[in-house]
Amino acid sequence: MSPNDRLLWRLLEDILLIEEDQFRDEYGPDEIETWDSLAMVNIASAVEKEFGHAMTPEEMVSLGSIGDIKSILRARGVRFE
Amino acid sequence: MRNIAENFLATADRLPDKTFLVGTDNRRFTYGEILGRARRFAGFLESHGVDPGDRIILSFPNTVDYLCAYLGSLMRSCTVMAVDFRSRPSHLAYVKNNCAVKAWVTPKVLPGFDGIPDRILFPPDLESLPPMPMGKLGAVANPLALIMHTSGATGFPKGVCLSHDNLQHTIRSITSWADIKEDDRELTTLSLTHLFGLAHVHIYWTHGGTVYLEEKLQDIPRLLQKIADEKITSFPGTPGGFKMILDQFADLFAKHGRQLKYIIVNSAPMAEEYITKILDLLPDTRFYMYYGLTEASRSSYICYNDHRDKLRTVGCPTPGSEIIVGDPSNPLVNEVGEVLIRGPQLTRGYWGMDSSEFFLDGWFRTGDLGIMDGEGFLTWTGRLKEQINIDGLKLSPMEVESVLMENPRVRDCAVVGAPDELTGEAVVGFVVPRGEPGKDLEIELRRHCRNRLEVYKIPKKILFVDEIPRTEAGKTKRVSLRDRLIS
Repeated sequence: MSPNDRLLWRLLEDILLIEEDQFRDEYGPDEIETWDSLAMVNIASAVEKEFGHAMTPEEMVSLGSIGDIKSILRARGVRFE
Repeated sequence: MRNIAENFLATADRLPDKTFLVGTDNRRFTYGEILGRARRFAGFLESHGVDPGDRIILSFPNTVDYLCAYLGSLMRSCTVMAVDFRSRPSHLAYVKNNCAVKAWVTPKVLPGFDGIPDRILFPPDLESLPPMPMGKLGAVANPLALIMHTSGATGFPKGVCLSHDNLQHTIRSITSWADIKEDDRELTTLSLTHLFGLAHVHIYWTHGGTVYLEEKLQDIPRLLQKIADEKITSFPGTPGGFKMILDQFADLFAKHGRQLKYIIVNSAPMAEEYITKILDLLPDTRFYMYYGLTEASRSSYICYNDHRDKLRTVGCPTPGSEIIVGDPSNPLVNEVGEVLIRGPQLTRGYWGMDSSEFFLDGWFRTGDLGIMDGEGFLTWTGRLKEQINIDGLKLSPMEVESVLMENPRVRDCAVVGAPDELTGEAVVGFVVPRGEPGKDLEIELRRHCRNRLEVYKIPKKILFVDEIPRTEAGKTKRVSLRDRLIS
């Protein structure tokens, strides 16, 4: 796992309480029951704190999976595996 | 006694072709169509041996099927226990045993629920089943409409008994000041297994309005667009939900919410700053706040547009209800005391338990603290009881503590509600660990809770301490722990 993947995994582990095998790009609210609208707000705020990139409200509500979080960060130059 | 399903029958007779429900998939159902489905469900219950007076659990998400099952159950003269579809199996099993339930009905068996007996799956072929004859609907008088489970001081939920008379009073009370009519359209994101959302559906079916169902508050821009497109007139919600909307989409809210006649907030206190924001963004929309509990629903209300100097209050008693603070023989004014309520909306008590300690000379002891001002406006100031309120969802700290104590790495623990910007309060655990504390243990314990509790009950944070402060009698000093968080 790259440092950025590890950072995102730690962040989502803390908010969503997921296990490492659930840290998959295609996983989202349907697979992770703790991923509700409140968690979405917490994820956006933690991403801004840890990666230094703020999400727009539109990006925040479009988060449908872990892969979406990575895509938004990739668009801002953050590299993932 | 008038069964609240009779209100629906009267509306379906008057307005059979009027749209009553719009599902999450945008399918529309008229009052006549829903009546047909509810009658089929009532017949389905009869064919499964469910008799008038029986208690049944309905565990559904916010769907048209759920409301058909709910209406059909009331038409069959059953008493309904509405259980959140996201509840844990242990909660459903507890409710089932607590109320000697005849059957529980669900559209889908989630993992962990398959061992709970007396399950009935909602029939996918409902449309092809025979409807119950009109003459048999509500033919047997069963005064008890609902038993809603709310968190108890001992950690075990208590079943609040609500009669048809209680619910009819609430319908009349809200109607008297909120002026809901048959051309009103409400968009609800509230769980309809809780009384706030469900009571609104009762009002709408009584007056012939239309209810648009949403599973929860998600994808806010789409919801706001829907409010505009469907010319929604009423949008109830929780303070946390409105805070989320205002923080992220205030402009869209102002743009799409213009035609809203009402905004109705309940369940938890709302910050003055956000009340002002809503009043400023939507000056033509009436903004109401209710105060009440499951045991005494809609006991006070205020329309903030008319009382901009009372934004810290939750208003005056609703018609027919009485609220005092302190002692019934000498009520307090402008002083903090326990809020006491009486009126026709008040529960008679909890299912299967002696409820006398919750009443004082006919007044219900809410466990809330408040101040009544000289003009009769109530301000909520805190709680006497140790309940935690997560944006309207209430829980007992003892329930979370008993789950934490099951973990072998916990020597002792205490749980409190900490102030939280978004949800009013958040669950925080103080743990005396066996062995080394640290982030890994915190996550392990929160995961332990995730596997045993509903999502909102999982501690947001766990702090490790050397000792839990207790009184000489062994009672946890939660106030001192809470103060430690605030300081």
